[in-house]
Amino acid sequence: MAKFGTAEVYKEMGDMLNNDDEWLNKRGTKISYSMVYDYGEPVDKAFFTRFEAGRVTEVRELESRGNIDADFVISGSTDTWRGVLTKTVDPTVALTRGQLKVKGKMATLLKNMNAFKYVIEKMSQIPLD
Amino acid sequence: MSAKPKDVKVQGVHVSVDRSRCAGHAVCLIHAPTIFDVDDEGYSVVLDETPADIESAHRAEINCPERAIHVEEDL
Amino acid sequence: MTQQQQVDIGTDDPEISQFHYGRPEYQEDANPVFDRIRQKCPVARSELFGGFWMLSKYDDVLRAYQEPELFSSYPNPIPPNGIGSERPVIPVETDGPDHAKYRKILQPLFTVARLRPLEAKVLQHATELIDGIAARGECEFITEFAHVLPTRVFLDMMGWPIEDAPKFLEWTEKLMREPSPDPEESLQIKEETGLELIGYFAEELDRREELGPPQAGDDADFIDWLRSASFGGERPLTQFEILDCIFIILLAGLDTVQGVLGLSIEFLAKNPGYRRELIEHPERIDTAVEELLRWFAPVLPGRRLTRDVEIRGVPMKKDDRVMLLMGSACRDGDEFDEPLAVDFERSPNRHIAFGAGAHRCLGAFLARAELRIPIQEWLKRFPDYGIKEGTTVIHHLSAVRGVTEMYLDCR
Repeated sequence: MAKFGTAEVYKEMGDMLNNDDEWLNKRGTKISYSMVYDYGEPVDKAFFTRFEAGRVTEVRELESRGNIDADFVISGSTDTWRGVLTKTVDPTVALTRGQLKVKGKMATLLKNMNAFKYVIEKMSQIPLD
Repeated sequence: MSAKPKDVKVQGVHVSVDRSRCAGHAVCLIHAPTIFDVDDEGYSVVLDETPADIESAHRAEINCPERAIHVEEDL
Repeated sequence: MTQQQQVDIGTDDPEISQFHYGRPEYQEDANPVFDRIRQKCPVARSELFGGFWMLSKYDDVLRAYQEPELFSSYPNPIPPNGIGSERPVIPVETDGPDHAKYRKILQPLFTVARLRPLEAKVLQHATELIDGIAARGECEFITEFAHVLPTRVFLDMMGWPIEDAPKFLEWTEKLMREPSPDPEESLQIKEETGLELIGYFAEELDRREELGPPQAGDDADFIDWLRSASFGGERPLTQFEILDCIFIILLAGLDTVQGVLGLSIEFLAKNPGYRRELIEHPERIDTAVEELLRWFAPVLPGRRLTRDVEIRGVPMKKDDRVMLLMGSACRDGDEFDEPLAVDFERSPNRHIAFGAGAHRCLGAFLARAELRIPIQEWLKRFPDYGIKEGTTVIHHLSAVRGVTEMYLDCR
């Protein structure tokens, strides 16, 4: 269980992935990036995560949403994030249509698209409070 | 009204493009480049609504896949 | 009780009920089977790949293009071809107001005014390639000309270095043909190749992002135009949308142009009368290109019905897939006078090789230039060329018809 709109979601995501053999040994081995999940109003928060060879080594809430320094920042409205996490919004469509905006190197994102999708899939399996 | 010379079949024609049908094929440009042009958005515009070259106007009309061109004869 | 007259959709005719453009027996020449299906079952059904209808009559195919609310473009390929089957490929597989918004962004990039400067490039590339072939006195036309020309023109359009052409030739070759005799492996290679190609585009986008904000307006190049565009006045395009557009612009103009160009040069090689006609009457080149487009209409697009409908007495259901046999429709005697005769002065010639309606081929003007200019230059330089003795021209049908291999004697 994790409270929506808090770092708990990402801590649980980290726990899931760090105990996922398929992720650590196969799917996530190339993932070494910092990724921020940025929420619009009313949550109005951003959550920092760091991946090292797939392992989630850091999860924290950022002090402010401005001037985020990370390899990737994915921004969405509170509604969009809730939709993605409850599987009522398709993340691929949301990314394509701009409901989820991505800042970061597109080339890297695309090369690792399957891995990034795996992470979002795991996230949406977390039961929310 | 002046007398019509014997070898002129029609007095003149009025050329128009139905923009709602036009899909920007630009085939009209092939057949009548002095009568039609394509605008910035890609749709056909009539440069000369009453062209002297009636034959080309007709050829453009019958070759439009969208049937968007109308050449009305003034009799 | 009256017996209901059932329309023949080819159920008891295996050539029809098992038809698909991938079948080896139709790769060489699909016209006989096209003509037979059109004459026997103007509305036909194949049971392959979950079943799909086939429309052969010009009126029905034109209608499919002009009524996109009924004939949705998503999904398009029958069966899926490994390129973006998870979501609609933008803009080809989008419908309605969304499609119109993408189109509004892309159409100005393909107007006559914007494409005229590219005609000089087409001539430059055609000349260069012909020079090379003239020096050797012979060629394999596809790898030495028909594949190369549109690839280079694409790089010119995007403002990318011509030195990258070999990479693009290799990638697009894998995407257009079957890279492996095993269909599953082929699909996998295509998916990987697609990723590499999009990766190139993505790196270019990243490089531009780093350089700064895009230049807007008439002087904006292709990429900056897309970066500064507005989707229906609501928002900028996402990088994903921009990548899809670039990808489609590359692919849509490649094996189509390659196909018709190859088939046209073959036709002129084997039909010296028509070749003479074009040499003696160069002013007929425009209508000749239109006739070659009608004769070789290369694409076999798919559609999906958005509701139940009856066509020529045949009931069809919502979500049914429909293949538009365009090459057949362009031979329909109900639209074309003496349809099985090639007439370089044919008028009217309302062929729909470029489709029609909202999804009308964006690149039609450029495609015509990529046919007209090479054919003109080829005939100037090699008026007496022919198929190399002892060789056979190899064709393919697949989703886009064309020549796979053709050796020419060019002295």
